[in-house]
Amino acid sequence: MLTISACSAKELNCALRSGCFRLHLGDIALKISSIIPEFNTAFRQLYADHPVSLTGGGYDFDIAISPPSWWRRWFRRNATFEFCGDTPFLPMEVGHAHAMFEWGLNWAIASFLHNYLVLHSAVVEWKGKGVLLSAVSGSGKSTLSAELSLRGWRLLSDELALIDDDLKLIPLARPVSLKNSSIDLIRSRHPSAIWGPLARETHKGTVAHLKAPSSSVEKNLVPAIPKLIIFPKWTANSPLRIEPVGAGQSALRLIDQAFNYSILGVDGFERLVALVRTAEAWEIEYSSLDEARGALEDLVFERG
Amino acid sequence: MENQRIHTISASSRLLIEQCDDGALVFNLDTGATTLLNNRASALLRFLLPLGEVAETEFRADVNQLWSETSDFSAIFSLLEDSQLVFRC
Repeated sequence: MLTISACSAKELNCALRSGCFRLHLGDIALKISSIIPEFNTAFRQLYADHPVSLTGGGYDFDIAISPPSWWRRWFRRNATFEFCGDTPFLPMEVGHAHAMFEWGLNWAIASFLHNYLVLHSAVVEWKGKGVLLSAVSGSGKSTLSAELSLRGWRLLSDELALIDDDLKLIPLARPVSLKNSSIDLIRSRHPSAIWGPLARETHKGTVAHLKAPSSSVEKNLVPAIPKLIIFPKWTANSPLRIEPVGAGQSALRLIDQAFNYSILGVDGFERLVALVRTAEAWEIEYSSLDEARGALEDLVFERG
Repeated sequence: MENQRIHTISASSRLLIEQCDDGALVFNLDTGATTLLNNRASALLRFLLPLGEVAETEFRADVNQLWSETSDFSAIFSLLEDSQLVFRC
């Protein structure tokens, strides 16, 4: 299938302008429109390996990154995230448009894909075994998943776990969102990694997006089987600490990080119970990414 | 003479209970809430469920016969009541 890297900038811009552009993110098809050059450039860089169509076709979500109303354009160059014609968020400056797209897409997936149980969790895979990294924001989940994905692990998502009714983890490999000091940390460890532009002074501080490895994007139609649930916590200067978490406690912690558990009702409960019975849960506190990766690889080998 | 009222109790009838290694996960279909109960609380709930509406004193006596340590009956019952898994009628 055609990928963005095989399209010229002109072809991409034309398709984004005409409403004929479709991004295939695993099973999900996105109609994306934009006439904002800053967004188009960053998008082309970060989604280079993703399959696309430039000639229209069916879609699940209709997303437009567009200039705001005329009067707002007097103040500053802004961009809005439009979802199926609605603008659920305030405009942001055009230099943040690619970050706004990622946040908006997370919101759309969490708000509308109720055929899946959607958890706030990174998902990675090692040696064919799916691992959920579930944590509140700021725990280092994205940093750890970025590190793992750049060390040979398969990335399914740095933000959202989609669990279907067969208990499979649905891949959504796309750029990894890193914040503040995590950006320099991953940059220094992986100098050849590909990054989008920095978005400074956002509500999350400075944000940068790391391009997902092509090997992960290529497998975006291949689900993973969950084998481990990890609750990671980065703490400065902390020695590595690994402790098992009971299945019931694990379920409660996942419910806290679920977007649509209450909407799914009994189905959500049954899926969650099946998940915690299938996948052992562990809590890992760490300060060293190398130690955390080593511990996770050992856990997958011994317990996954 | 004090007018003594006999309390009856019952468990919520629409519960799903799944045993885990660290307790029982209970999903209340009426409220949508999920609760993790320790083994003693889940045992008490499972004991009460098939009985329907029953006098509290009678139920407490039955539980006392089963459990050697009964001092925590009230605490456990309160916990279940707070979670809307059991009710005083």
